[in-house]
Amino acid sequence: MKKKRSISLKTRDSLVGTLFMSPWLIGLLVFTLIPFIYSVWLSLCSVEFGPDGMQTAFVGGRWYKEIFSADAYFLQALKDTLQFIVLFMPMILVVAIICALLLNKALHGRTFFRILFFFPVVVISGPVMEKLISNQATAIISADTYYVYQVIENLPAILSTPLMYIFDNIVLILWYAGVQMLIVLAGLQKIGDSLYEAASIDGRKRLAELLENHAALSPPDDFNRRGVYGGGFGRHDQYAHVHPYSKQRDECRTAIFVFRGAFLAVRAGGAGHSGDRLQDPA
Amino acid sequence: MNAKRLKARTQAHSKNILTNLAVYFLLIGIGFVFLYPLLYMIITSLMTTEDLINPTIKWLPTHLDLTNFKQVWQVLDYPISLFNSAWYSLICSLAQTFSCALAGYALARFSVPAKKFWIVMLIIIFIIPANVVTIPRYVLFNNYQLVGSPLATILPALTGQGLKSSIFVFIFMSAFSAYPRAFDEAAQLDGAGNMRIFFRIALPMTVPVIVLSLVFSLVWYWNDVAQCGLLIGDDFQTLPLELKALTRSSARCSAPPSAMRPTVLMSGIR
Repeated sequence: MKKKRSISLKTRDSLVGTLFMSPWLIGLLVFTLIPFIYSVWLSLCSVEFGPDGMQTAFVGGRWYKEIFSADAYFLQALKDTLQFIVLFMPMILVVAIICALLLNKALHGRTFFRILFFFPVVVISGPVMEKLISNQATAIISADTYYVYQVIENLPAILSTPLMYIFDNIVLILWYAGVQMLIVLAGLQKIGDSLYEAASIDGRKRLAELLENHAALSPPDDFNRRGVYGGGFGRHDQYAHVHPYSKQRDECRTAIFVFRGAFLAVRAGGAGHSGDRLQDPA
Repeated sequence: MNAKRLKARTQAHSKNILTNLAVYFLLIGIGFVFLYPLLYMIITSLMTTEDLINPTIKWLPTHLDLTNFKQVWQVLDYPISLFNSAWYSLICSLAQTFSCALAGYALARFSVPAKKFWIVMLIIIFIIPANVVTIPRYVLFNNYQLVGSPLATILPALTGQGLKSSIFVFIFMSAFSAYPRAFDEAAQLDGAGNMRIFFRIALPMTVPVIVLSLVFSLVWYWNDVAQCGLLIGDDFQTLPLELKALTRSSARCSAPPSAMRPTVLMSGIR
């Protein structure tokens, strides 16, 4: 009797859950999954538009072969996209965390700086960004006159190319970091003064505080194992297990997710951009 | 003893001032880099063509010229496209926030069957570029004759498949699992149903997250040109779409030097 009741509670639970999920599930099926599969199918077909609608004929992997062998732009675009992601993603993360740390300090005019730093997020939009980039408003003003720039220019090409790339796109990096900054900032505010205080009573230096508090933010469960965001923040797990502050972890779960969010958002930015790049320049 | 403490305190104080100075220096420096393109836009929008061509003029135009703004006001149909942009992005972001909150709540609080699978699906959706599903979506909406009406983007938003919806589902999921389950249970004991718990307890507990996702999706929908332009088409013009049309037409019909012009115009209104 008792067992039966617990089962029915469980089914009820999953039923209500599915009900809450249902809009998303329907959307997933209708607007994403089926279109995606259809898209893959179309990529294996030759499509012609006639008066009686679309005519499809199966051609197999022909387009995939062609894109690598015959397309003049694809490989270049792929290279550019990879370069963009490899160089931008870590830079955006680092910049976002640094800016968020700075903006999280108790300073005069903090609100002003926050507004200033988040403003580009609102301004950024396709047409405007395109124009700014094509007018080179996003490169540092005549940076090549500075000594540092010349030093970097004379380094071996393996080192200097990525560094120059970053210098040339520094404004873009900062602008793309806006959203991530907001997210990291939200995470930092969750840490709370009591944690910092406890750490400083223990005689920690600022950097150690930072590391350990962030350790307390490390993902508690399976997200690491799933490897959604390997490397980076996973390391902190070790701290969290040995450190007493890990008690606070429950409190910080939002922040953890916020970190994940930051990472995912960077990926989104990258993906979006790669899409733009892959499109025809027209 | 006292003197020693005092000395220590003044030392700490001066160290603080130094770090504060460094922080201000960094903030102002980064702030300038942030603002540089904006300043460039604003200044350039106030210049006449002569000033633009003149290489000696960089930051200060010879006189303030507002004709650019006047032209843009007319060409972009500013009041109409502003109104369109506003209600379109507001409705889409509201719909998206609501549907993502529902999905996040379900994933955080209920034992949904195959939960891990759905989470993996979330990530996969996230990784698939939106461009991949654009054409089939167009075909789909075309079949139902929805192309050309704002419903074509509102419907996906309402079902959690809008712009970057996965992020919002994740954020909501974390927010809903962050506050203690005991609140829900207490409400349940008092006889509240699931919907009531969601609206009266779960949502009020996560107001900051709701605001965050509203703001982000508002901005993303406002600036969206690709989806909006394709699915809604020519009859419905938002501000970014008009901008894009303007750049294209002016690039087509003017000689290269004055092709700079639309930038000037556009920079003004942003």
